[in-house]
Amino acid sequence: MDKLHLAEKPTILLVDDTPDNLTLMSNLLRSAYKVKIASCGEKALKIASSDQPPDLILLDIMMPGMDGYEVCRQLKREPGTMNIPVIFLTARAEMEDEQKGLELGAVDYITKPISPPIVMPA
Amino acid sequence: MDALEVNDIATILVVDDMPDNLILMSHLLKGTYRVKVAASGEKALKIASLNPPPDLILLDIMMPLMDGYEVCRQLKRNTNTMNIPVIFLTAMSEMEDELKGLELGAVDYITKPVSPPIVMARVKNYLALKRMDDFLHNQNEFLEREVAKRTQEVIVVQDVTILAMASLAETRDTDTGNHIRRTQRYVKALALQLRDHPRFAWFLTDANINMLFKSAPLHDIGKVGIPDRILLKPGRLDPSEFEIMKTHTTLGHDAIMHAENMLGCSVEFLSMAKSIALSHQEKWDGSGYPQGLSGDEIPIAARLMAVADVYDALISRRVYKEGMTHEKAIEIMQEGRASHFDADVLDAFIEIQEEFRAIAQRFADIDKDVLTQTGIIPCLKPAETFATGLASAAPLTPSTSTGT
Repeated sequence: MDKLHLAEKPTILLVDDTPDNLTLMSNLLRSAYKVKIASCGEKALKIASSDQPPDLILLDIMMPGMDGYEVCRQLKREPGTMNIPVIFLTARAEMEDEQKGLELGAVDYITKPISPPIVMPA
Repeated sequence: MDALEVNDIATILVVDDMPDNLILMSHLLKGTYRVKVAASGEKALKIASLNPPPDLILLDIMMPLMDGYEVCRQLKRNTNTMNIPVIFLTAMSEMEDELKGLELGAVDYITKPVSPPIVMARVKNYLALKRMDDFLHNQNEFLEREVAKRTQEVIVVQDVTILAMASLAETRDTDTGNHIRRTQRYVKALALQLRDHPRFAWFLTDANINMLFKSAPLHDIGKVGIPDRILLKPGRLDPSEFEIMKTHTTLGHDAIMHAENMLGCSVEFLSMAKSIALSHQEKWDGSGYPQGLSGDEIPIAARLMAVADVYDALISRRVYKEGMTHEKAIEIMQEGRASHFDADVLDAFIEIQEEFRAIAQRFADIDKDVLTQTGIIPCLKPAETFATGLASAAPLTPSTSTGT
């Protein structure tokens, strides 16, 4: 989309409690985007509500402590973060889970193991 | 997205060779969207090229005859369908396949068996994206049209202002405003002739030539500051009067500069008008006025103006002189080559002298002189016959220093 040509690279926030997943995803994304990472839900909320909020959040669901659903719920409750698109990354592929996540306000679901070509244009 | 609110339900085209899949997908989508189905690639292309086209296409890859890749390729090749978002539906989920489809211009992949919430979410997202895109596109077109309209208005106001200012100066010493029209056309003709010349090409861009044409009428604007007894004197000016007459160059320059200062910014065409007003009486050998500039120190615009202005002065009748023939004017101006005039500019003038003659005839003063001198004999009206008798005084100064 040339019309929206941005002077700066958009920032993607990756949220996952598994370091390997963070490494995999940031290697995939960092040539085209600025990548921030968070290994738990609390950290994700802190980064998302900072002065420079990310342009998009890739959010793992299954995390100890605060899970992805709760992170999404809290993001959508705050005016400062409610407009950041959230895509869930999940190992589960149950239809009800997807429905639940989308109803919480996520824009999409990507099932792990992820496909690099699908993640890139999203 | 209030701005994008549309009353129309979006139309989704589902393409699959398996009837079961078509039924499944249309059941899923039809509560929210208008659904069209195609059981083959050929049908899909036909439906996609209808007016109105579908808003989004869900496209199966594995189909007999024409597969989804080929359908996508053809959709993206046609300007009417290239902007319809395509999402591939596929049972295959090899990474290379996905990359291939995306490279063909598809926006996304959904793997079969499909998850209904995912299908609904993706369709909604891409429709929203498409609408936003269309909205921005329309907005840009609207803004571009608006800018073009406003720009045109500004140009018209600019032209009217210049002509009004120039006419003020002009009406003081001639009967018609035709001197303005002729000189600006001479200058443009000279500029076009010289635009590829190595010494002038850098300056004579389309934009500058246009600006020259527009600012040329202001070359004598300073004459508004010259007293009538001098400006309209029916005879030779004495040295002190001539000194006053010479100030029309600095008066014109200062008037435009004051206008610029009041605007608080410099406007390109006014800068050009200013340099023409100030320097059109300079001569190549440094014997002109007001600054005694010589050679390339004289702005190019002013060098072109000098040739145009002198030619027009020579062939025109003034209160103190008869007009000359075109041929006589050429002869006199030739003598000023590389002394009064830039040699290259004068040579260009000689080359296109017929064009000068044509301009002079087309914008002749309502008066027989210019016409007869340039070779056209008009039907004389009685009043004009009288007018000729009054204009018998000798030229103001010898040779080429006419055309103040």
